[in-house]
Amino acid sequence: MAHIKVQRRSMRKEEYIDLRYGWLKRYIHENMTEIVPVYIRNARQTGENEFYFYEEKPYELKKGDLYYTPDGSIFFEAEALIPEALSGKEVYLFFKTTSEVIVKVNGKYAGGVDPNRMRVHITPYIQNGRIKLEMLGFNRSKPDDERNPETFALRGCRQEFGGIYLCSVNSAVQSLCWDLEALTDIISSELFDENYREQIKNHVDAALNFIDFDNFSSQDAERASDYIEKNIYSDKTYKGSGRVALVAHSHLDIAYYWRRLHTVQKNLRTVLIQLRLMDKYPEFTYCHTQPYVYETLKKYYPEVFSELKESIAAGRFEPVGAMYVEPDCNVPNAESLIRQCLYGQKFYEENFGFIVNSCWLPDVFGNSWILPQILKKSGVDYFVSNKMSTWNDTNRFPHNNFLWRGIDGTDIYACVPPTHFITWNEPSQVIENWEAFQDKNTDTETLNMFGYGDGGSGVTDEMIELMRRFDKLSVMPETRHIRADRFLKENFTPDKDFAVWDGELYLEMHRGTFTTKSELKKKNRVLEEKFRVAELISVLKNSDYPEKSLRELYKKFLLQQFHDILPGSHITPVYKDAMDDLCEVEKGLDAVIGAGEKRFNALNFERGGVEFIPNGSGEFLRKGITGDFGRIKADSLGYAEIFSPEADLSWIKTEENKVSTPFYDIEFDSDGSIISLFDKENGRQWADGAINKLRLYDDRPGNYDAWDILPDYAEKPCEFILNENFHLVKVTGEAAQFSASERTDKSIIIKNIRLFRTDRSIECEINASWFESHKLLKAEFNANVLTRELICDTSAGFIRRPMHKNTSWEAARFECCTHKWFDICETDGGFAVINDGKYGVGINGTHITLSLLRATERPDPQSDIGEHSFCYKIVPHAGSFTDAGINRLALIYNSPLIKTEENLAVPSIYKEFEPLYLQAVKLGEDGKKIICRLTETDGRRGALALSSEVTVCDMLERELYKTDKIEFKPFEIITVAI
Amino acid sequence: MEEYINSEIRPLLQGDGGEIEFISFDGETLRVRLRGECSFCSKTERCLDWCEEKILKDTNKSVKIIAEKKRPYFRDR
Repeated sequence: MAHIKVQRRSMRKEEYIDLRYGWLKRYIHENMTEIVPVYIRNARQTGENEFYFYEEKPYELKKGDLYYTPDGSIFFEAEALIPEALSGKEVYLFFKTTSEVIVKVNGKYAGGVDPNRMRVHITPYIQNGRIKLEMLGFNRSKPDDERNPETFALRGCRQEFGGIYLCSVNSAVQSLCWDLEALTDIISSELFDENYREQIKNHVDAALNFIDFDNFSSQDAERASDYIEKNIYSDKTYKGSGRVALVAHSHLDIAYYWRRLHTVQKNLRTVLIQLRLMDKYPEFTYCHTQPYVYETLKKYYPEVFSELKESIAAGRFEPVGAMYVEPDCNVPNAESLIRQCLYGQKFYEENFGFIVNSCWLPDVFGNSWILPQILKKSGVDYFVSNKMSTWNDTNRFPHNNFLWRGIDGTDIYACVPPTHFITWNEPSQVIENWEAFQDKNTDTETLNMFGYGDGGSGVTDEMIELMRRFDKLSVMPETRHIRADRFLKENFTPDKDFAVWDGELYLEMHRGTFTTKSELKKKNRVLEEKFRVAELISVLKNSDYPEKSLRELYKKFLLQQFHDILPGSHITPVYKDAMDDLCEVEKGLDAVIGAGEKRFNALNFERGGVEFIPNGSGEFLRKGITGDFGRIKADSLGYAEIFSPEADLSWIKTEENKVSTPFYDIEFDSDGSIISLFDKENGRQWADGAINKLRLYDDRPGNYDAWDILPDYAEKPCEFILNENFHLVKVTGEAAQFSASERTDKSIIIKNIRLFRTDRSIECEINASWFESHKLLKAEFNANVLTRELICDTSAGFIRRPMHKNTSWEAARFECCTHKWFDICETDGGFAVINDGKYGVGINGTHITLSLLRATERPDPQSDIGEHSFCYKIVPHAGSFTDAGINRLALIYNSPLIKTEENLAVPSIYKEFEPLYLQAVKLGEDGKKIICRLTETDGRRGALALSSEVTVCDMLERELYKTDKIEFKPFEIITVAI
Repeated sequence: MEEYINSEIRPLLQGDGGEIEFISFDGETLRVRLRGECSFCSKTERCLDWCEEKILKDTNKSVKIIAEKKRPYFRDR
């Protein structure tokens, strides 16, 4: 017997409810009066508040005309009399658009419209029955418009103008619509009890039956509302459970599908909208991150900033997030993260009179293990970040309210809310949050953030109105709308039994962001060191410290570490802006550092060995710079002695692809990879398969192209064609260079390999003409080392990561972030790879790979296309990686000797800080103290006996105590003032 | 024309996450390739009309743009 599936083809009750809900919305706005004429000038934004105008004078825009241009802004102007029909009523401006518009009425900032809202209340701004309208619109093309289908249909670089109107709002209809928004959401959500949903459905249907849509009247809407009040809101039969804190915010990417300069107006619009909601709703509070965007508001829109300050003082508008911007928290080093906090908190303190105690990073792509200590020492008690709970692709992150234990043992309260950071307060989103909350046993509330974002926008009237209805719906969890700081303070208390997460907060997604946009990462590495040097040299010069310019340069640099800039997840112009900004910062730092003929060791430990010495006339070309490899010797913070190379070239012997040096007998493959690496000193073979073998993979992670590398990339290898066989290029008394190259039909990769007479390192320089599409380039290292742990640099200590895939947690960490080095080692020997600007490392059993280049297409079709030049070196070593001083070797590799003319006077106490790494030396923010930052990087405990007293400070440079003996523990970062 | 497209039109489309690549120009017909957000935009014709107007205004050349769309593989259904 054939099975016939019963299908209902007639309209269901819920469909009829939705239909009528849609009809009802047509009656919200009344007395619609088109404003004519409307004049516009098309423009393109060229600076934070600068525009290039396409027309000399405004021209009239009529309904039905196309408006906006690619990457365009529009200045609107219009004047209107308030029509008689609106006399005595609350008057609104109505503008349906997918653009983002700042609205000024009679010279006052009245609010904003955008894809999430179509009207602005303008009654308070009407003067003598007239309005003068000035609006600034930015036509955005942004994926998150999709959340609002009505405006999404309008999107495009050229849109059809539908007119701008004055209108009133039928409050009975509007209120009923908000009721229906909440109730239809419940009806359609399986998270609510089935019987309850059925009951609600029947009641809503009955309520809507009061309305005669053929002859509509407001009284019908009121009767429907009364019915809902009596039959739904008054019925407490079904009980909900749980406690959910509703915190309003708006995620604002300072660059992403728009340039940073557009964020100035995105922020203004977002702030304005929230301030106007506060005017309307006395219970509404809102939190906003990123001191940088407050700074732009202060600079360009002082009157709004002034209003904002009043709101902050009144406890309504709440600054959160100690960091200057919401940075990536994988790639920036410890000092960068400290400065994010320092300059962020400093802005808050100077402008609002307080610092904040939260770190608010809803969207960052995983969080380094070094953060808890940095945050706690920067006045932060609470860490908030959403991604791990909602974006992990393999394992469900097991906690939402917990203690996060950092690399040094510091604990910080952590909140990883169970659901997305962009929600719009639908009842189903709130109950989903409670259902997903995994720390119910802690007797805490779960945090539900609400408000539109990525490009700002924030809360809508509807979200607040929905909240007002939650208390009436007995099936809802207990909710309260509160400030972020109150949620954190009241829930994270010492009496609670929180689980401890001891380790990094690894995001099981976006693993490609360690590698995408290679040049940004390289510049980041170079400039982090140049800042260190520029500040150190400025202190040592003992003359005028360029305090203002260094701080401005630092802040500009910190902007580039934003979590959609440095990770590479942005459109083409954002990349160009970032590179321009970074080059400008570098130029400024170079000017501060100066030049000269002496070469200074900016590290606080002795260094020796072979280094590349740029000299403009040498034998070698390295990363486009001419120079020589030479033996050097330099004291801690001292000048270097460079030794003349030996004339004897017999230190190296070559026979076809076999090379013998004082350290190794090496056999190379024709592509320049190492087949055999016999260590003469240690009597062991380091190769177990190819070492430094370039691997090319098909790299198609889907929609999150720039963000992700999928776990199966290794199953899709692509072939290289050997372009030039391994061959000897040059030998000097200190170094020998070999070369080989490989190609595809689009790209050529040249590999220069360097061996040294007195240095165990084997350097590899890659020069790539890279024109691939959806490819991933890696260097693979198959070392003869029995270990289950890959040791990775965090910039302030190391992290051990399992190399096996015993559980899904280890399997998910197939691509991780490292900083200057990684190492695999046995008890008495190991194998390190040190790099000059790479951050992605692949773990696949004993096959370790350094990720070199990607070629992604979304959001930037030009991503990484072009020329690349970078270096890394292999360091096989005896003993452990700490015995071998791998961290120091990596610091040296990334801190070339500084050319300077002056005799820098180094206070002796600086040299007493060893064995701690002198991570920073700077003039204190008070302009009086010298601040030194000391970091324990090798996992050791000890004490410094100093010849004079120093003042131990926190990272905000607040003094704690004086001492001449500093005890330190593993991975501790200590700030002292001299 | 290729230089004009690269210097004048391309940065504007890139500003919206799009991309335009010059293919050929025979004096009348300009062939281009649209990528990125432009490759799946439903309002492309409006934008190309505007580009034609801009080209006419800036270069005094009346051109007809013929665009092919190269969608990223994950949007190529």
